[in-house]
Amino acid sequence: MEYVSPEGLRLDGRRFNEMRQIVAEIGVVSKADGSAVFEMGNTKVIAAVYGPREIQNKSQQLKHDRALVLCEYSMAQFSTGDRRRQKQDRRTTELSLVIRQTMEACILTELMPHSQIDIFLQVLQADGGTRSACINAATLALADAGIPMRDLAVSCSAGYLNSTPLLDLNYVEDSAGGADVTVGILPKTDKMDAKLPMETFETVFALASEGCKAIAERIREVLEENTKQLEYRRAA
Amino acid sequence: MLQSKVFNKKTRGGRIQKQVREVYLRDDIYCGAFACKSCDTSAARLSSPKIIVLDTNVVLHQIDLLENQAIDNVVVLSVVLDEVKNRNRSVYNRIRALCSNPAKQFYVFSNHVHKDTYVQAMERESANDHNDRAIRVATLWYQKHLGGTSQVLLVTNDRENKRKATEEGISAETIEAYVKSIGQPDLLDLLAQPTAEDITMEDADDSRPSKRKLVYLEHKPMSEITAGLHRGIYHQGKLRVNRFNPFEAYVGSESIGEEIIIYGRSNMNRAFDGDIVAIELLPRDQWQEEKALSIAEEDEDEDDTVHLAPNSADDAPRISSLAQETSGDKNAVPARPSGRVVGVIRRNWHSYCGSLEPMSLPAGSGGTAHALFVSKDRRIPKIRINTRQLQNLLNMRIVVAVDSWDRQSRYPSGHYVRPIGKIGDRETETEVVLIENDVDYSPFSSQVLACLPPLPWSVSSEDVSNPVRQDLRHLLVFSVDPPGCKDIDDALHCTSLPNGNFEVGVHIADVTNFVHPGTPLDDEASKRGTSVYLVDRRIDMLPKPLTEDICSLRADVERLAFSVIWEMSPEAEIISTRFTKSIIKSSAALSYVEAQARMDDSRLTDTVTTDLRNMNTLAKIMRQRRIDRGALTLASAEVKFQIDTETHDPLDIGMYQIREANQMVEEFMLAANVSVAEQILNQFSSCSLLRRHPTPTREMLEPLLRTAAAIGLTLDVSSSKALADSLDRAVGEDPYFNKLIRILATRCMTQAVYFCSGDLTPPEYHHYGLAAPLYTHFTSPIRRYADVFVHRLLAASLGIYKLPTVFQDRPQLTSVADNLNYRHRNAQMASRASVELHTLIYFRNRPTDAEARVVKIRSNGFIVFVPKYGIEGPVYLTAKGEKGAGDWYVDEEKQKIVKMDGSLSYSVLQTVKIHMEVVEPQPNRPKLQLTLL
Amino acid sequence: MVMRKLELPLNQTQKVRFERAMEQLQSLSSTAQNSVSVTDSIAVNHEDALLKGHGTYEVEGELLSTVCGVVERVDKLVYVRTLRARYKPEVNDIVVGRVIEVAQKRWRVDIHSTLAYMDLPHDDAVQKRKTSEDELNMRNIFVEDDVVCAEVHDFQRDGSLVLQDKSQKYGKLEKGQLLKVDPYLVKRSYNHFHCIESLGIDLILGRNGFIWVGEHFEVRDPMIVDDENSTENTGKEQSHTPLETRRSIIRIGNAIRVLSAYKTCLDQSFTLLSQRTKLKEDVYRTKVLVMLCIRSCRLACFDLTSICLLVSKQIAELSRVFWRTYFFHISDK
Repeated sequence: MEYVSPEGLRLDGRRFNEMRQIVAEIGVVSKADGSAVFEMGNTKVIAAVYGPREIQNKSQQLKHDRALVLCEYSMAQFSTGDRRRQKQDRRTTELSLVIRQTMEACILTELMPHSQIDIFLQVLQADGGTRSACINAATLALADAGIPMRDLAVSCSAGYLNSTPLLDLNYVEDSAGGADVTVGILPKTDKMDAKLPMETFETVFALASEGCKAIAERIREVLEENTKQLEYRRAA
Repeated sequence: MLQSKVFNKKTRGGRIQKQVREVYLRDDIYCGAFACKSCDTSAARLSSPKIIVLDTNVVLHQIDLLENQAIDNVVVLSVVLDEVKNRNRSVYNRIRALCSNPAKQFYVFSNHVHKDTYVQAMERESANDHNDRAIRVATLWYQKHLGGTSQVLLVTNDRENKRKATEEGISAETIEAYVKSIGQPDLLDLLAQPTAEDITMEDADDSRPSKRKLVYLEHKPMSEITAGLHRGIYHQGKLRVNRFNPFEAYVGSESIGEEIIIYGRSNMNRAFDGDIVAIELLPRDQWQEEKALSIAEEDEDEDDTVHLAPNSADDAPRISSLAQETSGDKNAVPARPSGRVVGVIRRNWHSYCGSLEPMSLPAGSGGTAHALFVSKDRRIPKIRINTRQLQNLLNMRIVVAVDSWDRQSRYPSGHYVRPIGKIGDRETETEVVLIENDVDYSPFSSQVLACLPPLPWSVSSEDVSNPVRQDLRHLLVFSVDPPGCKDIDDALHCTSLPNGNFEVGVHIADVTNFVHPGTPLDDEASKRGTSVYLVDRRIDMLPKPLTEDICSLRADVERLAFSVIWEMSPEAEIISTRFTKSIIKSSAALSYVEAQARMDDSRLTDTVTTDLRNMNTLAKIMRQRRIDRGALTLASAEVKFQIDTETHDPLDIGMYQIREANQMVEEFMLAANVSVAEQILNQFSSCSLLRRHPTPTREMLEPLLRTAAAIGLTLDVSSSKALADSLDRAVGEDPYFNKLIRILATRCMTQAVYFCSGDLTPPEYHHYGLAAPLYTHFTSPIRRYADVFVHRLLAASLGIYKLPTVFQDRPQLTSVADNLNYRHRNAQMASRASVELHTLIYFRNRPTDAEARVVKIRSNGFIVFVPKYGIEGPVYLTAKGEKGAGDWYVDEEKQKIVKMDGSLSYSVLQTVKIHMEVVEPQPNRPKLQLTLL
Repeated sequence: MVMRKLELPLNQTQKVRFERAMEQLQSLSSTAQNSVSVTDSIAVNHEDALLKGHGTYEVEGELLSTVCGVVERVDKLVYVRTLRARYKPEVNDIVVGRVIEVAQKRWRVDIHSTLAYMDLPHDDAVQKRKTSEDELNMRNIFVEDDVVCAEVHDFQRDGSLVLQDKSQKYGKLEKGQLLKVDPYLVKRSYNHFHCIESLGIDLILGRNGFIWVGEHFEVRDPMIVDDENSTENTGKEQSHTPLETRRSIIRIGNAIRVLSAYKTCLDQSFTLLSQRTKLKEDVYRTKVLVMLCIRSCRLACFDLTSICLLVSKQIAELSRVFWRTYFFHISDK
C-alpha cells in the first residue's frame, strides 16, 4: 500500500511534516472543575477534570505527601464506523495508565496532598492519534481546572511508513502496521509499538517533537485567550 | 493551505459503513510546465508547448503505446493513477516507471488535492463519472493556467467524456486520432483494440458481423456479483488454469473450502489464468468425472506433452484425484465440485510471448490483417490481433498484449507489442523462456555499473587494517564447486587444533562490502532476486565484474569474505561458533570431481587432501546426525547437458551425478546457514529473513501413498523422521527403485520459501526437509539476493553495520521475501524450460530408444518417466480420437491398466521400453513424442 | 468564544448588542494584560529579592507560571491568582457548605474543596466538657444535607480543615436556596453577608463559591438565646414564608446563575444591591441598575431563560457605563 505518493503527498493531501487541523475548546462540561474538547482532524476527545478533591477510596492512596491522580479513558460507542461494544479491554486499561502516568508527571502533585484529581477522557470520534488527542485534551482540562502543572504535557504521534517519517498519523496510516511513536513532551516518550532502530527513531522522534511543539503553541494560545476572557469579565 | 472534508460511504464485508476522510487541499501543487510563470518550475518536466492529458482508459489500454518514445509531454493526473492502480497493478507500475523516467516527460499532477481542481462527488454520481469530471476540470485548469503559452489536449477514448469535454471547451481527441496526427504509421500497430463500449476505430472494417452468435455467457454486473458473493451463491477466487490442460481450471475458494474445477472454455467464460473470478457452482449432476472430460469442445488438439520431470509439487501437473471414483462404483457422484465463471473481478492480463498461427498472406499486403496469436504459455487462449506487417511477423516469436474479450468472439483481441526473433532459433526460444518467466535479462544500466568499484580491484590496505576484518590469509582455504564454476561464493578450511578438535571455517564472498543498501546496484539485485542458470547461459543477479572477479573466491588471489568459523570436536559437535569479516586467499579452486579424486587417492597426503578427508569425515557424521533427526534425503532427476562449444547445441544428456564431495560441501553450507539463522534470529527476532519448508499435508502425500500401496509398500508419513526411515526401507529389486520412490516423494512436497520472521510464529519456522527448526540462506550471496540480505542482518547483529531501513518496515520486508520467492520460482521454471528446450533440440535429430518407468496410470495410457534424460511424458495405448478407450480398463486399487482380454497390463513403477522422437504436428510447434516399443 | 454557552434565544439585535457589549468589556479590561497561562515566564527583576508565591515555579532562574491566571505582585511577593480553580481555603474565610456526614463529635461538611469538619460547638463562656450526651444530641443541631454557614478556623495536619460557627451569624441556613458558582467570582471582602431589605432577602456569598439566598433572618443578641427563645424560634421556623419572598429568592437566585454563567463577579453586584439600601445613595444610575436588576427579577416570569436574557442584556449594556460611574462615585467620596 502506498501511503505517500512519489509526489510526497499523503492519502489525505498532507505532506509528511504536516499536522491535521487542530481545534480546542475549553469549558465544555459545566459540572466539572475543568474540561476541554480537543480535535485533531477527525479525532475528537472530550476531557473532564474533577478535583483536587477529597480522596474517595483511601486504599488507592499510595503516597501521603502528594495528590492522587486517577484517569479513566473510554471510547464512545459511536466513535468509530462500527458501533463498538463498551468494554474494559487491555488497550483501554493500558491507555488509561499511560495517560495517567503522563499527567501525573506534569501535575505538581506535591502541592496538593490528601487530595485526588480525576481525569475522565472520552473519545467522541476516533481517526488515529487518540492517545495524543487524549493527552492534549487532559492538559487543557487540567489547566482549566487551575491545577498547577510543571509544564504543558502535549503529545503528537509520528510514524514510519514507506520509508518516510510521517507526522500525526490518521487512522488509515496508523493501521498500516508501521512503527509509530507517540511522543509526549515534558515527560519522556511514553510508548513504542513497533521496533525502530535508533537512527530512524531519532528522525521520527524529532518529527513528533516538532508536532508537539506546534500543539503546545496552539494550546497555549487557547489557554491565554480563555484566561483573558475570564479575567476581564471578572474584573469588569 | 485550504482544507475541506469529504464524506463517502464504503462497503466492507457486505455491510455499509460510513467512512469519513479528510482532504487537505493545497495551493503548492505546481503545473510542471517549464513555460509556466506562476509556478515553481524546479520539479517541472513538460517542455513542449503541446501538452496532452490522458484519460484513465487510455493509460489502461494503451500502455504499450505510451512507452513508445514518440509519446511525450504528458500530464498524468493523480485520479487517473489511482484508478489505474485499482484496476491493473502492472499497468500502474509501468506508468509509474514512465513518470519517474528522466528521459520521458511525464508529469504527475496531484489534482485530487489541488485547491482548484478538487472535485466534490455529486449526489448519485458514479465513481467513473466523478473521475471523468475530475479529469475534465483538471484539463480545463491547465488550459486556463497555461493560457496562450501551451496547447492542452485531452486524450480520451471514452465517447461520453470526449463529448462533454468538447462541450466544456476542452480540445479532446481519441488516441487513434492523436497517433495519426503524429504521423508515424507503425505506431498504429501498438494501439490496443477498442472495446465495444469505446469509440470504434474509424478505419477498422467491421469483420465481425453482428449476426455472429454469442459464444459466451454474459458476465454478471459487479453489483450482482457482490451481492451473490455475499449471499453465498457465487464464490470468489483466483483462477488457475491447468498447465497441462488449458481446458481445465481450478478456483481455490475460501467460501467452499475446496477447489472448484472448471471444465472447458465456455465455463471459464473468458477468464484468464490468474484472474480473480466469481464462479457459480454447477448442479451436482453436471459435476463431470475427469475421465469423461473429453476435449471435445475445441478442435485444437491439446493434450499432455513430454516435459521435464517435476521436482516438487509446485511444478508437477495437477494430480487428478482418482481415489474418489473407484472403478467398481461408477454411479457414485464425484465429490469434486465444478463450476462456471459468472464474472471477472480482476483481470490478470499482461503481455504474452508466442507466434502467429500460420496463415496465408492476404492479397493486398500493406493493409491491416487479422491474425491469430498462439501463446507459448499453453494456459493462454489464442489471441486475435490486427497487424500491418503480417509478412514480417509470421515466422517470428512476438510479444502480444490482450485488450478485450467480448461475448461474440471466441478469442480475445489484443495488439502486437514487439518482436523477439525467429521461431525455432535457440536464441529466440531462450529469450521466450526468459520473458515467460519474467526474468529480467537486460544488460545492467549505467547507474548500476557506476556502483562497481574500479577495476582491476584488489584488497586494499584499508581493508587489511579495518579492525572488523580479520586477516585469515594464513589459513589454507580452498573451494569445491562444479567444474567451470566462475562465481565461487564459498570456500572452506579445516585445521586440526592442538586439543584434538578441528577448526572448520566456511568463507563466503563478502558481497555486501560492494553492494550497499539503497544504491541502484542493490535495487537492481533486489529486483532480480537471483541469478538464473540456463543450459547455455547464466543471467547474473550482479554485474559480471562482481560475479566473476571481485567477489568470486578464486584461487591464489586475496578476497574479502564473511566467515563462519566453528570449533568442532572429532565427533563433529560444534563447540563454539564465531562470525567475522575476513580476508582470505584461496589456495585451490577444486571441482567436485577433483576433490573426490584427491580423497579417494590414498597416495596423496598433502595438506589440502588431508583437510579434505578430515572434513569429509566430519561431514559424514553431521550428515548422519541430520538424517537421524529426520532430514529427508530427497532426490530429483537433474540432468546435465554437454554443449557443443561451437554451435552451443547439446551434444549429450546425462544424469547429474552426486558425489561424496558434493555432499561434504553441502553439509558445511547447511551448518553455516543454520548457525547464521540462529544468530540473526537471536538478534532480530521480528525482521530476520529465514527459509522454511512447510510440512506436507496428508493430501499432498496422497499420490505417493497410493502409488506405494499399489506396489505393496507402506510408507509412514506421520513425521519427517518416519518418512525418511520408510523411504530408507523402500528397497526394490533394482537399484533405481529407491531413487524413484524418493523422486515421487519429493514432487509431493512444496518448495521451501523465504519469509520474514515477524510474519510467522516460531513453530512455523520449521524446515521440514532438513528437519531443522531454523534455516536461512547465507552461503551464495553472489547469486541469491536473500543471502545478501542475510549478510546484512548478520553484519548488523555483530555491530559491523547499521541495519538498513528496509528492515524497519515490516510490510516492505514481507514484500521483499515474496519477491524473492517469486524470482526464485521463476528462475527454476526458466531453468527447467531451458532444459526442456535443449532436450527438444537434442532429440530433434536423434530418435532414441530408452528405458522408462511408469509413474501414473491414465484411462487411455500412462505417464512414464525416463530417468536417463529426466523427462516425463504420456504414452498412449489407444490412439487419439478413439474415444471411450474400450480396450483397456484401469484398476485403481492396484494402479494398473489392463487390456480387456487380460493379455496385457501395465502397472505403476513398471519398467517399459519406449521410443522417443520429435514430431511436428503443427508447424513451429515441435514436440517430443513417446511411443511404446 | 470559548465560554460555556448558555442557550439564550437572542434575536438579532440582542445578539449584536450583546457582542458589542462583550467587545467593550474586553477593551475595558486592564488587568488581563497580566494574565499568564501555564509555563509562561513571569517577568521579574531578579535583582530584587522576591518571594515566590502560589502558581509559580522556578526553572533555571526563570520564574514560570504553573497555572493560568493573573500575575499579582504585593511588595516582594509574586504570585499567580488562578481564575477557574477549586476553592483554596484560607483561615477566616466565610464559607457556605452542606453537611454530608454526622461523625463522632463533628460534622463533615462539603465545601467543594478538601475535607472539612465542623466541631461540636462548645460554649466558651461555660467551658463545659463535651459529654456523650452532647454527642447524642448532635443530630438535633445539624443533620445530613443541612446547609450551614461557617468560618474557616484552622487546618489539620492531614490537610482537612476545621470550621467553626462560633458567631450567631453562622449556623444553619434555612428557607432559601443554595447556589454553586465558580469560587473565583466571589472576592474576599469585608462583608459576605448581604441583606436586600426591600425584598426581605439574605445573601451569603461563601468564599467557596456556594451562595445562599434565603429569607431574611434577624440576628438576635446571643445572650437572649435561651430555651425559651429557641421554642419561640422553632415556632417561627414553622411559620410560612410569603409567596412574594419565595419569588424574590428564586429571582435573585436566577440572576446569580446568569451572572455566574457569564463569569461576572458577584460581590460587586450584590454588595451593591445591599449597599444601595444601606447607604441610601441617591445615585441615579445606581438606582437604575439595581432597579433594573430587581425589576427584571420581579417581572412575573419564572422562565429562567428570559430572566437570563434580560439580566445579561442589562448587565452587558450597563456594565460599561455603570460600574465605572459607580466606582468613580465611591472613590470620589
